[in-house]
Amino acid sequence: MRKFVKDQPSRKPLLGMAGAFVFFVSLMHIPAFGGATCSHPCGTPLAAILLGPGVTAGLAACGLLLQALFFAHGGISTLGANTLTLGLVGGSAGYLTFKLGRKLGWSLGVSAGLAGLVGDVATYMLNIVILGLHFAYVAPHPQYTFWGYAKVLGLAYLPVQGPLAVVEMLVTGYAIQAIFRQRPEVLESLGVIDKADPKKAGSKRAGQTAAVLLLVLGLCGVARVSAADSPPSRQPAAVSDVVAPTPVVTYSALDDLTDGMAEKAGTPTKPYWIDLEGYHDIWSSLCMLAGLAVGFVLGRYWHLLFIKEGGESRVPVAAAKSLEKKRSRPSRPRS
Amino acid sequence: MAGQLSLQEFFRVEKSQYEGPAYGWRRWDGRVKVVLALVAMTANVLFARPWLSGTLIGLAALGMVYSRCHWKHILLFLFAPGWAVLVLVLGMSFGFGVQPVFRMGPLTFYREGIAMGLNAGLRVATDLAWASLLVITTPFADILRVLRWMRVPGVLVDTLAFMYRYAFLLFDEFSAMRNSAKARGGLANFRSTGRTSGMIAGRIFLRSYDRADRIQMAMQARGSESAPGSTPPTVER
Repeated sequence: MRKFVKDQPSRKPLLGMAGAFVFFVSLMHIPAFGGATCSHPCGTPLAAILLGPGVTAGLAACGLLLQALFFAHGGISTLGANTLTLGLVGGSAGYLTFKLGRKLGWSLGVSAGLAGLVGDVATYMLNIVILGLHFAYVAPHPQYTFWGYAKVLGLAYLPVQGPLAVVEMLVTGYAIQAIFRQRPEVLESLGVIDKADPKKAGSKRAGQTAAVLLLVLGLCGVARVSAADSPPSRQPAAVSDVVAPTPVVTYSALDDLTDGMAEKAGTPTKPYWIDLEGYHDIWSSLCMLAGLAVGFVLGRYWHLLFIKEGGESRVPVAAAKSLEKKRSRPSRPRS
Repeated sequence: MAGQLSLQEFFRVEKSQYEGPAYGWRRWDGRVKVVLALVAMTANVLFARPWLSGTLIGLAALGMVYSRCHWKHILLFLFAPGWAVLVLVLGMSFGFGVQPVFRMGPLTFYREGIAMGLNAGLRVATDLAWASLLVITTPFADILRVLRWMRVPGVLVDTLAFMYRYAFLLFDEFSAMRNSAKARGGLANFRSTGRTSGMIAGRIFLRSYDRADRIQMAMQARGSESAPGSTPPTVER
């Protein structure tokens, strides 16, 4: 902050106004749990895009102090931890994502939106790590390991912070887009966009990059699932186990039935290609959601990958013919 | 918590400090109050003893009564953080411990966890009670002056002063724009709410940017060179 003021003494009021802006954004109420309680956006990714991550960390510290004093948000003794997660890591993650998005050629709104999402998620991930480490290794009588606490804390954060991260993404993306549409010179003066060619990022390239990234992520997820080790129960039974008298076996699912039949026949069963039981429900659900997202994006934007701009017509032949016919039909004279 | 303590509510608290004669703690020097509050909060966190936290909460409540603060403000500041404290106590009750006390579905509550949770909750409540005592008996301009006296960097103090001065204004502008958008159906669903809120946030940033320019010009017209020391003047009671 000192450097900011030293470099641009005339921008000192802007620092205060930006601080007030961060403070105000973090006070916006977002209903959670169907309105039973509420949560607040971070606001730091947006501030980091506009003013830089270093200034944002200082502003976040000031905002958190005011919140702790006036509204009992955050707390006095947790000020350092909150500044680290919200101001430093949240702001920096958002800023780096925005810069990366711009380097990849994504549009301003998409880059800013993703920056908001990543900044928010990074903030709460670091919170989970800090709390998990403290609970597992510092606090007395821990009930879980670090990963156990991380899962519990993640599940506790998810219902409120999950939708909030999406809201943060929308707010950050639309805010930057609105500023660009109304006053692009403000973004230029703050160094957010390039003065020479502010519109260099095209939406087509952004769509292509996003589709390829999602495709790679989806393929990685499928590969991870298919490379899973089979659980011990899927291994062929030993001879002694087959000979030993066994009680009546009941099968709960089709897979168990085929396993049992193979076992009786003495044929080794193959491990499942996608072993849902080997993974927990959350991982399976995440894989399913990733698959859905990849499928949706590919279905919607496949033409950006395979059809060149200005090349063949994207309208199917039959539809094009009927359109031509309709156009050539003489219009009725109006009375 | 936030639903109960709003900026408008705090504005009323701040305004009440300038109305009528000052009693009790309000007459004390700001430096003494800030230092006492810092000592109480530090001791509460460092020693972490339930008896100490209980005593400190009692002292904070007595201080508020002694200063003749409005009973509504006392209750609001003491009990508003209760929801967060309850979550903390419950979370620790089943997260830690060895001796089970009772079981509720998949959760088992442990004796040690309950003790830890109550202890932590008491510490949180104590810190908040002392912060509240300081804030509802001391005008923010005095707190800023004390921070400057304590050699806190001028940039931070000035930024705090600006934030305090303009946060109310920005929030009012935001409320007006949001009400207007709501009347036009801009908050109809999740996506439009995000879009409208983003556009309002962008608009407010632009207004802040313009206002910062005007403030700078006004400061220069009065001979200022953006030097630190722009703490608000003392208000005579």
